[in-house]
Formats: sequence, C-alpha cells, structure tokens
Amino acid sequence: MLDSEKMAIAAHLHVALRRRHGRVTDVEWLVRDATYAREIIALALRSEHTELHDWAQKLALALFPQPPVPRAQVREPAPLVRAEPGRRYVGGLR
Amino acid sequence: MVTASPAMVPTSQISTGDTAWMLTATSLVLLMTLPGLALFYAGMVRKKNILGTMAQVLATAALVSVLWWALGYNLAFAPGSAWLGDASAVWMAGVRVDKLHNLVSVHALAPTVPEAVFAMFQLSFAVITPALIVGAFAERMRFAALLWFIGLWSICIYAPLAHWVWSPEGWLARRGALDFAGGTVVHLNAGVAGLVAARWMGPRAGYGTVPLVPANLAYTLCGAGLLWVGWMGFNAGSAGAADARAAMAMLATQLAAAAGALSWMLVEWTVRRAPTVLGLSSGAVAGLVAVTPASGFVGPGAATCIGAVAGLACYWGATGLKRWLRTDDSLDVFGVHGVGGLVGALLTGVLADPLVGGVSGSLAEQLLAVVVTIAFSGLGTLLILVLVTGLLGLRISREQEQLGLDLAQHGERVE
Repeated sequence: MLDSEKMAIAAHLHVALRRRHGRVTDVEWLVRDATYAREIIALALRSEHTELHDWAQKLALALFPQPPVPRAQVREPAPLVRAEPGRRYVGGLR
Repeated sequence: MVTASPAMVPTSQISTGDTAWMLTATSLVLLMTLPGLALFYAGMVRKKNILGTMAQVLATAALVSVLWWALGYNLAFAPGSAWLGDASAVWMAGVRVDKLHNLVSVHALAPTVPEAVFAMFQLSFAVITPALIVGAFAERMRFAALLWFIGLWSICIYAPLAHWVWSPEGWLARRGALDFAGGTVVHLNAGVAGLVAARWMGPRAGYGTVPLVPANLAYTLCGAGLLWVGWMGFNAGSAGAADARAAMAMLATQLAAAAGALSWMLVEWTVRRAPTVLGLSSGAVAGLVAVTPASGFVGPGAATCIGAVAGLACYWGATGLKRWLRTDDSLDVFGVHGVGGLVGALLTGVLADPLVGGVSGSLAEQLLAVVVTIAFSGLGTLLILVLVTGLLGLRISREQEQLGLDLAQHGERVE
C-alpha cells in the first residue's frame, strides 16, 4: 500500500477521534511510528463508536499486514468458552 | 365479612411475636432496595453510569417514602370503594399510638400488629416497585424527569392497583384474584411499565451495534444475594404474622429461588456453553419473582416447580422475547420481572393448595388480573411518560449520554 493511502486512512481516524472524543493525534507520526500507531489504534478500539472501530481496523491492516501463513500451518483454534466476551453484550445483557 | 376500616384497639391485642417478625420483614424488604437492587443494577450498567443508576434507586426510595406517607397509603389501603381508598388516611392520619390510654391503631389486614408496622411494610413494597422500573431505561433518563415519572407513577399506577388486588374491598380481590406478595401488583406491573418506558424513550446510543459491557458483575451478584435474602421478608412477611403460613412461604421462596437459578443455569449452559454469573443471579431472581404471588398458597413441591418454570421462561424473556420486541429494556426488567410475574400469577391459579392458604385458585381470575394489570399499567405509564416528556423532557442529550450519567447528571464518578 502506498504511503499516501496509509496517510489518508490515518487522517480519517484522526478526524473521527477528534470529533468523538476530542482527542488530537499526529497524522504523519501515525504512519511513521509503529509504537504510536499501535497505541492510538488500541485507544480507538476501546471506544464505543463503530466508526472509530472501522478506521482503526483499516489502519491496523494498512500498517501491520499479516504475513501469509502456509496452508499446512493453519490450525483450527481450540474451542473457547468465550473468545470475545464483549461481543455477547451487543443488543442484550443475558 | 372483613372490614377494611382501621381501628384503635387495646395494646394487649397486639402480638409481640407478630410485631417483631413484621419489623424484621420490613427491614429485609428495605434491604432489597437499599442496597440490594442498587447493587444489582449498578453492576450491569457501564462504569460511567454506576453512580447515576444507584442515585436513581436511592432517590426513588426517598421520594416514594414521603409520597406514601402523604397519599399513597391512603389510596391503597384506606377504606373506600372497590377502586380507591377514601381520604381518611391522607398523611397517614389514622396511624396512631395512644400511650395514655394504651390504644393503638391496627389495619384489618394485619390486626395483631400496630398499623405503623403494616404501613411501613407496605411502604417498603411501594418503594421497590418503581425502583425496579429504573433498570428498563437505565443510562439515558434525566434525573429530574425520573423524579417526576416515579412520583406520578407511584400515586397513579401503583397505589390503585395495590388497592384493587390487596385491599379487602378491591374489585380484583373480591373476584378471587390471588396475589400473596405482589406478582401482579409489584413485578408484572413494574415489568410492563419498564417495557413501555424503554420503548417510549428509545434505545441507548450504540445499542445493537456495539457491546454495552456491564461494569462489574460482582456488584450484581452481591445485589442478587441481598435480594434473595431480603425476599424472605417480602414473601414470608406478607403473611402479616409469625405463623405457619409465613414459615411455608419462606420455604417456598427459598426453593423457588434455587430452582430458578438451576434451570436458568442449565438452559444457558446448553445453549451458550457457559453457566454465567449473571445467568445464575438472574435465574434466582426469576424464581423469586414467580413464587411471589404463590408463596402463601403453595407447598414446597409446587414452589420448586414454579421456580424451575420461571427460570426457563425468564431466560427466554431476556433473550428471544427481547430480540423479538426490539426494545432496549436495558437491564431486562420486563424479561425477568414482567415474564416472571406473569408466569407466577398464572401458576398460582393452577397450583394454589387450600391446605396452605385456605383458598383454591382460579386460572380465569388470575388471567383477568394479569390482563387488567398489563392494560392499566401499560396505558397509565404511557400517559405519564407523555406528560413528563411535555413538561421537561425525558432524555439526556447525546453528549451527556456519551459522558455518562455520573458526570453529566451528578458531577461525580467512580475512579
């Protein structure tokens, strides 16, 4: 992905964070510094706003793409009682 | 025939045993609200709304106590017509002690205890009923609007329904509707009101799209435990005396709570692959709710059956029915209290044992009481909501909702 495309996604996240939480970020530093980017992405994912989730996930994919995994190494994950506890509270408590 | 007229009687007529038990039971029921219900609800809301939710429960207790003294007790339990009490007990005028002449007033429904104890016991019921509704519109109602809503609801909905069902002159009581401790008056009533209020107010921001994660389910478990223990006073105290019926009501209460917790746990374990703390707590409350109308009329076996059925029914109420209703009843007031109250009221008509309560049940009369409660509570609540919306508006702003009730409404927060 081109740096300009990464910058565009970072700018969207910057605007959403500013609008939703009043948080000001450095767009250029988001693209250049991995530690800073991870912090801001984690912050956005903790928000209740889906818009922030979407942009944070896009930026994470753009900055830290997953290396391809050889097919032979792919395993089904062990069954968990609750892989993502937070998701159960979408639309209801119980 | 039983008369509803309060009367002054010699203090020698008072049973010290009954009085001691009713004082204890009253304290237990108050404990259900403060801090039982406050903790139960506080654990299920998000962290930014913990204090706001607890404040709503506490303010409800204070406001309804004063209103009960001023007017509510009179409307519900003073002698009068089949529909309402007359004005003879406004400001609790008839509740008296005359130490000089060794006289004390008693109520016809509890002739062996001072009327002050009976009025206070009923006050604790009047307090918890509107406090239950708070859970349905949690995290989004203005505090000022809440006070107006709760005050009007207590006087206009709770007091008349209590008179219809519990006063010896009440028209549903005279028809033979059975409600030992409040399956219709308290739980179905609060559940329906909660559903209507939640529907009227609309969902919380983010409902259905993002997880609205409960702050601390350990609070909820502590609250459920306090509710469970306090419910012994709620049901066994409704016998109005320290007698065999009270003892059976206490046993029925414990068994129904246990059966409710286990049946909810089993169905949740089967469907969701995990027996959750919230499920266990909710199942116990479901069993307690459902046995409430039945507790003075059924034996241990029937009570266990009622609890088990309630656990299953309320699980469905808080999951499948909730999705079908598409209403953000935030803490499942209708799913647990509405459905549990309905199940308990109907099963009381089927399972009431004349050897326990002295009367047989009638499914038709129970069904009538249920329909009347749903209609009266639903329509009355809607009218009050319309009125309060017009007066000052019900909802906090979008920005305040984002900030949370604690800071936006009370200027405090949990660190």
